[in-house]
Amino acid sequence: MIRLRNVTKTYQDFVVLNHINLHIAKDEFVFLVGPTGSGKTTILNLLTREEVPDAGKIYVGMTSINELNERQVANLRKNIGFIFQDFKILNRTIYENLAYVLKIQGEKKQIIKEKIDRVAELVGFESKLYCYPHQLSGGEQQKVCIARAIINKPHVLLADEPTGNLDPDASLEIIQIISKINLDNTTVIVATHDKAIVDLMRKRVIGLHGGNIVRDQQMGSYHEF
Amino acid sequence: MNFRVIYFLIDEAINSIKQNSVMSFLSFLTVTISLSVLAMFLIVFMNLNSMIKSIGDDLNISVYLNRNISEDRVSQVRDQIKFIRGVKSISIIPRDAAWADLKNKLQYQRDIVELIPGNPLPDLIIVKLKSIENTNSVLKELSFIKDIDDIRYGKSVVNKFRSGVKLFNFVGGVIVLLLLSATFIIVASTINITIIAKEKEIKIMKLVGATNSFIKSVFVLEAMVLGLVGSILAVVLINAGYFIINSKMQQVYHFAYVFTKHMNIISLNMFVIVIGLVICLSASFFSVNSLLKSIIKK
Repeated sequence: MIRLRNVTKTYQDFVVLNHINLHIAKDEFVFLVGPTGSGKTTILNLLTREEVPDAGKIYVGMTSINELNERQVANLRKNIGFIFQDFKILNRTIYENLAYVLKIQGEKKQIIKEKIDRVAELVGFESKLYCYPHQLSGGEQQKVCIARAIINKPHVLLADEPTGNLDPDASLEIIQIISKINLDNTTVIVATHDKAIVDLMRKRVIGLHGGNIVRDQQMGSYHEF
Repeated sequence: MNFRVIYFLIDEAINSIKQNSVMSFLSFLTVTISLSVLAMFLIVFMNLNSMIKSIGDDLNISVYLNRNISEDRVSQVRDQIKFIRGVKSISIIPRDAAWADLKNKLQYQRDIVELIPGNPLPDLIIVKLKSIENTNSVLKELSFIKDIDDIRYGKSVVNKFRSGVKLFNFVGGVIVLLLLSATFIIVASTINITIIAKEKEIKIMKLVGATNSFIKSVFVLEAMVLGLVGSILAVVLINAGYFIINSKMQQVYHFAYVFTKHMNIISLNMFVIVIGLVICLSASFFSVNSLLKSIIKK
């Protein structure tokens, strides 16, 4: 599903990713772990084509995304959901936040309603659809962010520190929702510092350090044993 | 882009104007004021120029012939003048008729008239021009004709009037230019503020597959709404003001019809709306191209 071949990325003289090779299969659930600046977020940004590598190739599905034009990048992003640490929710009702994504794509009102009802049920906030963000807890806001990311049924879901601003209970709930989405045939990549969650889930863990992959474990934990 | 997306973009532009109400109000105000001043300037400019034209159309050149030439020669000179390019018509006042007329007018000063030996007046040809613009060329042609003693026309009056209008045009042009520049800057600032305030939306739009041109169109549309509403307000003001002032003037000065004679208010309205849109669109392109690039790259 996702392949990085010999990918290098530098910012000025700082090497963020150093000849990375990586393969993530379809429907896999992967944690990217490592200290700040190890290159976790850069991998996510490369996959959404927010960044382009200095060297190497990146494939999403069968397509090399290095050489996509603007329109092709836009199409790529329609198939990738993204969850932010800081939620990035607009100051509108939750329904409007979710509808915003679909309106950009020119969806019909009826379709918008159906899709919102589906994701609201999946993440469990049907009763909060007409609340404003400030009326929600951090965990609930992150649920909105997840719902927005999966509203178009993407093939890939990327999450950058999705539990970074949440308490342990809310973190657990969020990761369970993400896990549920993974079971619904979505490849999931989560960049995180959340040791408890990684150790609990026992999924594939890719450890990064100084721009290199230092370990890649199936059913791994946050720290190498 | 289907109609639902266009509706979404317009809706977003209107919401953004509402959310950013202070700057939007300032933008409306500056667009309206500067376009109203531009239109007022244009109305006065067009009318002054049409007045010059009217005065020019009534301007005659008086050609005085030598006194000692024969009637045949007078006829020849008359024919030569008639065929000069730019001459609309000519009329002759023969020296005998002019003298009889003068004597008639001076009948109470008969003593003085009788002191003058013979007829001192020359034959006079009054030349009417097609346009004031032809004055110089006609004067040049007249200078080549023999037996012309003197040429007179209202040169100084027209030139003074023209230089007054030139000054007015210059000062008005500078004021309008300053106002349009202020409009440009304020609209660009409004769009800048909107772009900064919408950083989150831009990020979301990007990640759900909106192209850069789609994102830009949100802000360009907002500027279009600002320009359109501002210029329509200006048009309403101009029309109301124009008709009120015009009707008042006609009550007081009957010659004020000049102020409506050459005006095409519909063309003026269209012009104002187009200028409003052009200013706002160029301001938005300026902002979007400079600021949005950096936000999109973040």
